[in-house]
Amino acid sequence: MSRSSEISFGEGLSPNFMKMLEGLRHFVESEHILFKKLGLQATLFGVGEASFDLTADNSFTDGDLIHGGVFTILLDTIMSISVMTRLEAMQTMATINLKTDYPGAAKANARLSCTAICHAIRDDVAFTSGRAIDKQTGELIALAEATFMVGTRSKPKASRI
Amino acid sequence: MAIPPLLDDSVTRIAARVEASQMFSWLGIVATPADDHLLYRLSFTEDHIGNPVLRALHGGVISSFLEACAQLDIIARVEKDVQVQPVSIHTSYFTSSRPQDMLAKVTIRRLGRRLAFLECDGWQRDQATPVARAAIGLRIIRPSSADAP
Repeated sequence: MSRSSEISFGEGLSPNFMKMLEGLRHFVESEHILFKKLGLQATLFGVGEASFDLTADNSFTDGDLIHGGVFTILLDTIMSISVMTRLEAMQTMATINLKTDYPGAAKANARLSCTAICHAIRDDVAFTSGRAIDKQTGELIALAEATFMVGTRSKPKASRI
Repeated sequence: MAIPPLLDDSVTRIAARVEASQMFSWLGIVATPADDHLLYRLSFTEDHIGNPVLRALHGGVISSFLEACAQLDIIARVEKDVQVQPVSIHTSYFTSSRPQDMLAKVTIRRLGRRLAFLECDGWQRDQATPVARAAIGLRIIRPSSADAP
């Protein structure tokens, strides 16, 4: 992995996650149109925890500020990645519920840090929270909570909501 | 406080606001009049896909679209010098989405002096079976004279 020296790894991550990680990082950092644009770089993975740094450029502004919707999008993804750190194999995931609060605002090109925690997975429902912080000022920009359905395709249709 | 009606130039106002915002333009939002309300459209592009295997809209993209619609629905009703800032959005995803346009309708529950509370439904095939519904809180910042008690 090209930038693995910059990433911290917590203890207890499953060997399978380490295998998933390469594909995941490639997806987030270079393959996915949106996240490539946001310049996401992984900084930390632990069991139930994932952190990324990024710089949101002028593509997502509303006036001088980065529109809050960007953090909704980012945290949704990073929270889902925090779920993966608890999985034994890569599984598809669907957002069931997502709440974002905007206690702050970030200027375009601000260096930001986004962290997500997966608190628990119960009956294929994962419970997560996340936050975005301006790395220069330390200001809290966005807070989020989300639940995800884990394994959207493997389940028979009857068991879905 | 009664909810003010849509202004006559609401559609052009919204178009101008979308054009001025990189974020709203990225979502490709278009508003059209429908009966007594506005119908909002997310113009689908590949950028809006979450997981390329599932080929569904990204959950966060849906949420930001519904939030943007709520902001625009207020902008379509108030004076131009009033600022509208998102405070909180809570979205429930009822069913999976497709790689297609999404439509949305906003319901204003309360538009006060300093805060607004709205609901926004987003659907793709059938309005009666929405893909997602969001509860949105917005901060309304009026010019100081209008903000007096």
